[in-house]
Amino acid sequence: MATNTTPPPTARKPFQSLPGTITSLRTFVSSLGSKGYLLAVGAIVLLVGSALSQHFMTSRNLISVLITASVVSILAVGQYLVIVTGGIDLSVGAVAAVSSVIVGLALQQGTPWPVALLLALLTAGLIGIFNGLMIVYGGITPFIVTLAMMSIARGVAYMLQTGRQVAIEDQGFLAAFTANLGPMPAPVMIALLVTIVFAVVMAQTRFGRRLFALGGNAEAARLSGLPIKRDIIGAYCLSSLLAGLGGVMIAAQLTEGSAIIGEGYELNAIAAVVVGGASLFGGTGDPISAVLGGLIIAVILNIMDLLGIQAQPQLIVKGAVILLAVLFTSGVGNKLPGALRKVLFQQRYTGLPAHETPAGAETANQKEDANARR
Amino acid sequence: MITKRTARLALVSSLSAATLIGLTACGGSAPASTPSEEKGLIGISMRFIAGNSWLSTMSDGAVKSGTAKGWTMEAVDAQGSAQTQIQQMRTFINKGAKAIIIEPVGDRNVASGIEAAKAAGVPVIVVNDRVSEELAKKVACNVHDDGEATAELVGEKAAAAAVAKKGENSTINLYIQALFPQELVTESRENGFMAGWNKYMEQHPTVKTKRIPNNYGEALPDKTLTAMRNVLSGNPDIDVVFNQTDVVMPAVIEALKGAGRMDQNGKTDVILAGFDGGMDVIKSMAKDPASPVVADGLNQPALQAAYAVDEAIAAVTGAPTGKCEGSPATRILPALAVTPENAGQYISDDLAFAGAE
Repeated sequence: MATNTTPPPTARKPFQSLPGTITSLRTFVSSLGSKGYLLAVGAIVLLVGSALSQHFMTSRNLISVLITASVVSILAVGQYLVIVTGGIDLSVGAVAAVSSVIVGLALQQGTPWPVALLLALLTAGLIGIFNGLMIVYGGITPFIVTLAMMSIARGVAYMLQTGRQVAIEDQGFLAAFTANLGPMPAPVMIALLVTIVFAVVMAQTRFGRRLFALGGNAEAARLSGLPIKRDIIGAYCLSSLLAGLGGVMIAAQLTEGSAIIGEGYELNAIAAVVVGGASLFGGTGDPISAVLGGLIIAVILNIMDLLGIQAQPQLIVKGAVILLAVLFTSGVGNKLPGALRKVLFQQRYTGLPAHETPAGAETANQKEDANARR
Repeated sequence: MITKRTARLALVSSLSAATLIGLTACGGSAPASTPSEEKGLIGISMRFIAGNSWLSTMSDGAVKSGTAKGWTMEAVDAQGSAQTQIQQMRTFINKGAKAIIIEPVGDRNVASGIEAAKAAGVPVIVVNDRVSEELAKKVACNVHDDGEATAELVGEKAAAAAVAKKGENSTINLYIQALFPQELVTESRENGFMAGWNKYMEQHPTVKTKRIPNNYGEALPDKTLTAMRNVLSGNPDIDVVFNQTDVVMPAVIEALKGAGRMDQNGKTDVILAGFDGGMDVIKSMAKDPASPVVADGLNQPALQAAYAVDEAIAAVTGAPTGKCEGSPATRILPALAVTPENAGQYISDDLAFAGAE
């Protein structure tokens, strides 16, 4: 009688073991990079918001948050393009103000709104080109050039406005920038489009890769024959152009152009970019993370407003969020979980303090470190 | 050693700077100076001119009033710096100004400027913001509005409109769109408004008021829009909004529209009250008797400025107006709240904020 020698198929485990799941999760999170932390933090913030306020998870509130965040998101994408080169643009808030006043004044003169829009964007773009030229050919640091431009642009906006309200009544313009565009309001769709376009530009085009190279090592990029002067001017032009677009969007939302709008937007945009994991030294990050960073800040501020928390504690929370987020998206933050694990697990398995590991005994983490070094 | 390149750069920089200054002088509005040599110079140092339409209305009002009375007026912007304001006061003294009007930067910071003017025999008039009592006694006159009393009138009218709309035995949700946290003007307007509101509600004990916590827009339209949107998300049943400055009224209105509390034609069941007498708000009130803005507090910057000029002239000529009284010598603008019924009287195409001589 022939016997069946084929071994019975091993029963597959219905679920992965816990350490396996944790490893898979960790691999998945690592593959997401800084976006992994941002998505996790975003999810936690959404959960906390839902638990604390019954009004938070309503479509009206979420859309309101998205509309509010849309302008800063666009400015953050522009700011990112400059920060990735190792630069900074402090003039974006003032450029937004100038654009809002120009579009408002042009519309008051009866200019068709697409022409008024082009005029505002052209002015913003020229300001950016001037910034870039001063940095590249004037040899002045971006901080100083854009700080000066912040003052100049704000002054020009005040002079153009001459203390009067620049009311906007052009219904075509207002509809283009405030009405629903598909499933969402126009500002949200515009911000989404800008984010996607520049995410693709940074990841898939030569220009994007050159900006990374420029921020990573400008001298190496120059010696490699990359057109770094042109790229720097291009980055500042795009940053100002996007600031101009942001200004036009605020003008539509407020139905007025105003020289006092956009104050502090440069810092909000920078905060969004660094919360998104980009380094101010350049060469890292991506536009989507910058937008996610801005969204997280906007949602947290929204939750605090819904809870009626006073303005003073809100400032503290905002600062703390920026610090914590940067801590966890930066290199130091990435090492924190490993360092904590090392201390905790060594104590648990050896029963000895971490610094008294028995001779010859190599902990799992030490092995991991050793493998990494090899 | 100066190289050719350095010299060329210096030349280009100088030319650029000169061009910029020239352009600014052509297009700018400050310092506003008008020659009228017979009677002498009155200097005006404002806390801000650029970037603050309310204060620039005050500055323009002073220049216009003084010029009309035959004086040479020169207005300068201290840009929020007490040091700059003191320096400007000293410059006016050196230029032989007959009197100096200041809209002070801080209540004690400009003490040395006031002392210097006193030593030189140049009378100082303080307008709008106040200085400490000790300093106030050293100046010729202190001219200001009574923000709290004005806000009280606004509060009373808003309460009356709210009760008329909601009826007795109702609960009214009241929200104050404030300026800055822990700031004197914000607090005085809030206290005044609530005093007027409570005074009216005492006669209507069956009506309950539910206060929604304040949010702060820092008198900036975009910040106010965000603050209002968030507040409306959490409190969709707001009945009354007291907006502490008309500068941001468009933001309040757009937030109400966005939250579905106002239609595109401006029709709403929310009662609005404002402050500062922004000309666009006053015009909209005059145009529509059923305007959602039921009351607006006027602090009349141009009129305050004209009073300050009158007191300065009185101090120089030694002919008192008889309206600056007490110790410290003070002239206070009467409290005034405009309603849709009388808003038409205050319309002016020359002013950004209502109220003039």
